[in-house]
Amino acid sequence: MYDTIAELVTAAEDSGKPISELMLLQEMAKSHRTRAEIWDQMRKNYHVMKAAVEKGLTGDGVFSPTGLTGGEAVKMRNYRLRGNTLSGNDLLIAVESALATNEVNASLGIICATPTAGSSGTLPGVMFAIKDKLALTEDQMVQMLFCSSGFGMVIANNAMIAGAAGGCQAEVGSASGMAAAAAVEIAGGTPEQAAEAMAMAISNLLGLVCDPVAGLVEIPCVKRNAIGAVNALISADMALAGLTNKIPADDVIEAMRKVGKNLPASLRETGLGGLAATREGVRLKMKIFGQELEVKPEWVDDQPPVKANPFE
Amino acid sequence: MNQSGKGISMGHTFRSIFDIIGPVMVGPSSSHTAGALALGRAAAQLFEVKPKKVTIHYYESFADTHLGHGTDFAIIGGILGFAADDPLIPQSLEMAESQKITVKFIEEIGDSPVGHPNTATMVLERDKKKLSVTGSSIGGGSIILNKVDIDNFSMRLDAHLPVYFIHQNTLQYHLYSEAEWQNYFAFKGYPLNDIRIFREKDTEWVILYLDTLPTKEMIYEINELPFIEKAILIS
Repeated sequence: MYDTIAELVTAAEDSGKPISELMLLQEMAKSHRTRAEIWDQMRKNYHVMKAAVEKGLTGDGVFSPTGLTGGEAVKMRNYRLRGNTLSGNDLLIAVESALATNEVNASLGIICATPTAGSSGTLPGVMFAIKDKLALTEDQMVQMLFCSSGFGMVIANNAMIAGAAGGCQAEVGSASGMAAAAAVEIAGGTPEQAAEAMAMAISNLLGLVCDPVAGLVEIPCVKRNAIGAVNALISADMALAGLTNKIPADDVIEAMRKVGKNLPASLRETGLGGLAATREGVRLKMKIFGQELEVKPEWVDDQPPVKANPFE
Repeated sequence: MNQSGKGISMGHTFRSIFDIIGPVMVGPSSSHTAGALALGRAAAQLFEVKPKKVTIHYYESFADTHLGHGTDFAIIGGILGFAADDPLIPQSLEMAESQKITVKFIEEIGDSPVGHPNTATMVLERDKKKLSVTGSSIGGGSIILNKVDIDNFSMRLDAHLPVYFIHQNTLQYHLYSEAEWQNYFAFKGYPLNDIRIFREKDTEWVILYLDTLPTKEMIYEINELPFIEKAILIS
């Protein structure tokens, strides 16, 4: 097993094999299963991801039982198809695919956790954004999953992937880093560039808090996957253009671990801080669960109240 | 109580690429839904029979967000034996009720007894039979079984899955020693990460910390060993 990204990159360079292939070989050795069995399991995961994107974009879309989220992936697609967007077609395919997946997740539909359910839209967002552009075959889409698993495993073993342990940076941040690296590999970049892409993607989301409104995986989780996917795409492009992160990938993972450990509990998936502790966030929680909620003053009022606007 | 073993199990927490890409699951949260389901399933496997009463104690993030994350139906779904991607999981509480299983959820105020923000203690009861399992959900649907109490026989494990629970009959003439278990698995090409033996009076549990799932042939062979009362593989 690879303990660091540096080891993974060196092994890929020395063997001339892509990182996706190294992960497949590692799984074969660990699980005593054949290449075909492992490939088949990963292809099934890909089919689940594809089905979730399609489901979220069919008809009016899907809606969560609480009504907090749903239908916005479809809105996004309709907007994109009308043309005249600011971000352009490919980035918005990433956005709508990510939104669709997480809306399906919030509706208690079936998804593939990549690496978690809360961050399940980021990787498919990136994959479906570049699928047509690079004319990727199904095998190449599956290859991206193998590559991203290598980066994800090093992150998970050296830092964390649970929002309760390290905030959203550990979920969408990790997913974004994994997706950026996989996009670089499939676009023909080097293992070193894949590592740089991961380093940039995670650096960009470092410190992102996990503050789900009403403790649900809806607000802001669904849209954070859109940003995770777009962040991955631009990080991959920066790496392919030869830009570097300066801070090495393994150091970035270590930084994420430390930041995650230092986040207060209210910002680690307790639904008690950040957006969840805003007036509207608390109102939504009470509306959904119909119960009184203790809101400690320190969670809401980090700053003394501003009495007057000095610019008026 | 005697306890042998090498202390904390070494090795990587996440070992399979499918811990990272996967599981395929019903939303909305891998740690609060898929992980909770895995915890429930582990408890059910250890209890072996259908419980009449189930009490779930939640700690920290689990206590704060179990309602929103569907942790309740996931953990009960696991106890009822659902797969992680079964679309009926959200209806598990109604199913438990129709099966006359009393279910109770308790939000504990203090810190997790095992030091992880997503911790649950599951107490399963049926007449005089009682099991308590404390586990934590560490992300991406993966779990750790921290503490298991079977009818007041207490074991602190901190085990990642897969893990083999083997109950040995101490009245037998010869039991497998720690080294013999190690040798058996090494010979098969499935080296153990760790092994712990808990012994009290005539009860002995051997806990095997596995790296990957053993083959069907190995499971069959282990079940056929004469001194084994039961062998429960949790994966």
